[in-house]
Order: sequence, then structure tokens, then C-alpha cells
Amino acid sequence: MFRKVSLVSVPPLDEVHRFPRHLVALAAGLSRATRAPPERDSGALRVLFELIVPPWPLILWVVFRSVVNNRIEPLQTFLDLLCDTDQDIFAWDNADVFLLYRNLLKDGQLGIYPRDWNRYMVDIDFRTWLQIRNMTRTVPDRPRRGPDDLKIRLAAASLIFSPEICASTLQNILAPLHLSLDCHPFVTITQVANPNYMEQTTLGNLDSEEFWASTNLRNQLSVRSQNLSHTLWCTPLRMSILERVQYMHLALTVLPQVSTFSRVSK
Amino acid sequence: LISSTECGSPGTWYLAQFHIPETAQFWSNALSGADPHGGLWFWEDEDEECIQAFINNRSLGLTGEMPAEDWDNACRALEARQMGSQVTLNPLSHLTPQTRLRFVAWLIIAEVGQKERLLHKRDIGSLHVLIAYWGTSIASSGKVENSKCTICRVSHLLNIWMETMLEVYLPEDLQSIPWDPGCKCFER
Repeated sequence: MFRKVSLVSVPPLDEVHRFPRHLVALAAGLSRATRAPPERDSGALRVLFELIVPPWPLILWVVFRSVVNNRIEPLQTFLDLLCDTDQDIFAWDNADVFLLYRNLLKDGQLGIYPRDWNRYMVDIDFRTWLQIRNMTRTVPDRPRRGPDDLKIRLAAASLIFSPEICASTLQNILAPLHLSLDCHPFVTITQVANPNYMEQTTLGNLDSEEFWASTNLRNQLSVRSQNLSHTLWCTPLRMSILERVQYMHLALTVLPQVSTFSRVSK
Repeated sequence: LISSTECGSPGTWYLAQFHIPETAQFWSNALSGADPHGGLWFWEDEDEECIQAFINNRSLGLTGEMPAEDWDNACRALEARQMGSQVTLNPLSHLTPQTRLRFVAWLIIAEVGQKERLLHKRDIGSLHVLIAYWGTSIASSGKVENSKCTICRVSHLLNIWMETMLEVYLPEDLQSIPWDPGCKCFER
């Protein structure tokens, strides 16, 4: 687990740089100048934010803030989750940074991060971001779960933040990231993880012609996949949410799919 | 305001020419008013002399002239801004021309140039690397000063960089920027 962070204890000064003596003297002299500090959401500060704030924790913070709008003390709740949740969800390495930047930079705006995310980014001060950065950065590179690694971790994090989140909501929040999340298998994963999900019956009359109709067979296969995923999601085995999502992803992508079945049935 | 920025555009272009290969989008983003923080990129009337001295300082190795295409793009962006209803004031108007030039150089390196390096060179651009680029951009004389620190290689630039940044940022803001080299030049 990450070291516990409390907003009360942020920022301990030893977590940030202390300027050498000659730079301290320089800072003291210049800060006497009569000027207002830049606004938190100013363009000048945006440059510093982008040097300090790593993309992965920012993305998780944006998702968190988007889905828990009304929660009191969202930052402390987020920091508690960061410390108490599976470390794999919050951890990032340089390979993640390059992948995320590459996706974010597809839009031609000034600055790296989307404008809509800035209002959430500036909710957290520099020192707390620095602390989050230091806690979550992984060196050497972390192990991965195949090509959908980031999406699996995003789905797991989103379900921790809000169990009722659906894939299309997540897709809308993260549109600037240019990742497809409202597609198979993530639509099913978020559907069956919803607390209101009811398992559907797959019973049918094997002797009837309707049962063997291709549309019904596709539906049967789809329902069975969903039920299997739901079973994995609810299993009493000691597994983290990330592990559950990972197994659901595996079951939904490795087992015969509706499209495979359609080809065979033709 | 518009005219001073139009006159100052070559200054922006000279600062940007080594760091931004595709400038068309940059002019639009910086000057058209599309970005709510676009006021940062505007020059003041009093900057002309300073910009001219910077451009004329051949020891910097600045080459060529601002291409006509860049002029067109810059003017088009300024026209678009004039058509818009929102007027963004320059938050850097309190700076001296010399400091404003240095700060615009920093914006180009740390914001626009950083994106280019991320996209094309897979270089995350740690602070000491950005300061090194910045030092190359704003060096005010032909005399090449060497860093006393062989690890970060920018110890000779830290005073002037800090002096410039502290005109805009608070000391505690700067202290939070990660410093990756193993040296103590920026750390405790």
C-alpha cells in the first residue's frame, strides 16, 4: 500500500525542493515585488502544472471528480482511495506517460492537457500533486496485462469510484484521451458490475425451432457471457476489483464470441 | 495592443523557430483568442526596442527572416481575435521588456516545444533539459558560459532563470517542479 496521505499533513516541506542559499536570497528579494500571484487557472501556471502533474493520476482524478460531484472533501476521499486501493491501479511508468501523451496530443490545443480537465487539475495544489507523483511513479516499468492494460485499469478505477458508471459515461469523460471504452468487452463489464444488474435466464426449449434461430443463439451466448462475468464480479474469492475486471475481460475476450458463433452458424 | 503584437511577431518567431516545426497551428492557438489564456503571447509597445536588439544580436546564431506564410498566419489570427468579443489582457504586462522576452521564450520551450518533443522525440523534458533549451534561446551574448555542475549542466543558468520565473511565479510553485538530475543545484 502507498504511504497514507492526509491533507492536514500536506505539504511537508521536506517533500519538496529547498533552493540553495543563493536562490533563496534571490527569491526573498524578488517576492517583495508588488505583484499579485497568478490565478490558479492562468496560462502561466498551466505550464507549471503540466511539468508537475503526471497524466495517469490526473486522468483518474478527472474521472473521480466527474462521477462524485457531490461528495464532501473529494480530494481527501481520493487520497484515501489512492492509499487503500490496489496499487496497480494508480501506478504509472514512463511507457504509460508516452502512450497517454501521444493520445492527448492529438488535439491541437495549446498545452498538453484538455481545457476541460484544467478546472479539476487546479483543484489540487502543486505540493500535493508532487506527493501524488512521487507515490505513484513506478521505476522500473510495471508489468502489463496485454494491449488493453490501460483500459482494464481505467474500468476498474471507475467502478471503484462509482459502481454504477457505464462505459458510455466513461467514454464521454475521457473523450480527449481517444481511447475506445464504450465497446466490447467494457460495455458488458460495466453492465454486469452495476449493483442493479439482474442475471438473465438462458433457459429455452431445445426442441423448438425458435431456439435454434441464429438471433436467439446469439442472444443465448451473449447472456451466458454476461452471467459468467457477473459471477466472476461477485465471486466471494479474495480478489481486488482490478483482478475481477481482469478476469472478466479475459472471459469475455477468450471464450467464443457472438461474432465467432455467427460465422460458424452460417 | 494588436499592433505591438504584430510588430513583435518576428520576436516570437525567432524564439520559436528551433522549437516549433509547424507554426500555423501555433499562431492560431496563441493569437486568435481561441485559447482563454492567449493573452500571454502578446507583446507591449515598449518591447519593440528589446525585440529588435534580440533579433539583431547575430551572436545568437538566428538565421533567416520570418517567412511570409508566418506573417500571414499571425495576421489572420490577430484579425480573428479582433472579430471576437472577448479581449484577453496580457497578464505579463507588468514585466520589463527584457523579462517578458525571457518569459515568452520559456513559454515556447516549456509549453509548445515540450509538446513537439513529446510527440516526435519521446522526450519527457525534465526541468534541467527545458532550462538548457531556454538558455540557448535567450543567451544575451556570444560568450559561452559553462555550467559548474557537470550533472545538470545548467547551474550557470539557474540564477537568471529563477529571476525571470519569480517575476511571475511564487517561490513555492517553483519548488514543486521535479528535479531529476542527481545534483543539488536546485535541491536542498
